[in-house]
Amino acid sequence: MVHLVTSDNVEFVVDKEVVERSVLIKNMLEDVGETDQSIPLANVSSAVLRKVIEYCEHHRGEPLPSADADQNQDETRKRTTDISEWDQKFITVDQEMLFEIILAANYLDIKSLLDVGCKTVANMIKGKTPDEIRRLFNIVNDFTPEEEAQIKKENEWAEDR
Amino acid sequence: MQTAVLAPNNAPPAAAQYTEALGLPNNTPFNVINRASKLQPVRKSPINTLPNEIILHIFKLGVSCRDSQERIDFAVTASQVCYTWRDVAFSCSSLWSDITITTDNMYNIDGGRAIVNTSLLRAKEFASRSRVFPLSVRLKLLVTPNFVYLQTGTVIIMDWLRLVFPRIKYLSIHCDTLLIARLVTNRLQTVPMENLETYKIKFGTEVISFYHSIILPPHVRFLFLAGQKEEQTQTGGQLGFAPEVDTGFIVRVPSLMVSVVFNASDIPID
Repeated sequence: MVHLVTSDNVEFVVDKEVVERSVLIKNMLEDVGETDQSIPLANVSSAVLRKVIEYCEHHRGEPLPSADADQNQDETRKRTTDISEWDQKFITVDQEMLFEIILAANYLDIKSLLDVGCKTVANMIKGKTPDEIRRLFNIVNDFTPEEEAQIKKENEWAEDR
Repeated sequence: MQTAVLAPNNAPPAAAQYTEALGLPNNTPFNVINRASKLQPVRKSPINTLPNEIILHIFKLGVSCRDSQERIDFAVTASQVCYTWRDVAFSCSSLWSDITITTDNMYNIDGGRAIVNTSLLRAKEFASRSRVFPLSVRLKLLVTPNFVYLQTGTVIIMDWLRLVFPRIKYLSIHCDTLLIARLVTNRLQTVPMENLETYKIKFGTEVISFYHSIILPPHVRFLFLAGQKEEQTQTGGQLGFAPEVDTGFIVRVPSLMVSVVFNASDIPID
């Protein structure tokens, strides 16, 4: 079992097989060896780690992507923004949690979880206008008048398809 | 004479207060201060807690769909949301590597011949944004109400295409007249196509003479070739001169062996 301590000082005891989906933790454990000492995760809160562990538990036993398979994985990943039913349900959270999960997956180096989060955001963007995207994510339009003029010109390109 | 102490770049005196509040150096240009002051509420947006490399990863996944028009729309839309997203999108060559050119509207409002249309303008911009990244090019050279300009429009497009041809990895040509099909293949015979891997041609008229006029570029691994006799198009009957291909339409071309699929409806042209 592995002991993890979150940024808000909550300790989690997790099965080694589950937590080793994180390349960061896997490498740590390989470097340190068997230890009862807790691993501090300064960038992950307890609420987010709970979700991350839920994901790793569900995908327990599935093959981990090897370094050699990275390129093929990239190719496969590139082909689709489809998300499995369970993953889709899992990632149905509010925006703040969604981005926290993505950040945690990036920090812990869990590629499949990072992709689930990023695909979800990509799907939220698809088919929307820039204005709808700004409203959805609360983003301010900070273009200069010159950039606005260029964008207006770009939109005229969309006429011929 | 009264002299006023001006902030650099003609920023009003209040700029000093902004620079301090925003944690920027005193000599920050006004346009940067202006953008930074607008960015403050942006940073409160949860999505802007993500670093640029993750935003880029989202964009790459967003353009991973099979539909080329969807890929183009995603890249354009993402780059029009805010300055940061535009910057991230422009930093990624692969986002702009899908080019679709049509012969639509290759004429002026007054009815005269034009040397460019909006799809060609977009193609030029995409070719520039994608820098040296391999390109996927789709040509839709279809008969339009202004048929008279189809031939000259095709020549204009092919002339520009010569400039980016060494970068083209995937080429799909969809035309509906034998005249244009021949024009395109003749033009292709004299251009460098060292990176071309997939070559698709689909048209809707007599196939045999056209098929014999194709000279296969050296590195082509896949050739999709299809055509229909005019009478087949009209009657829906089977071609008399072609072997029937029952399954699949991907034809591997090892050692420059050419195989041909004659059923035009089987060819996926997206």
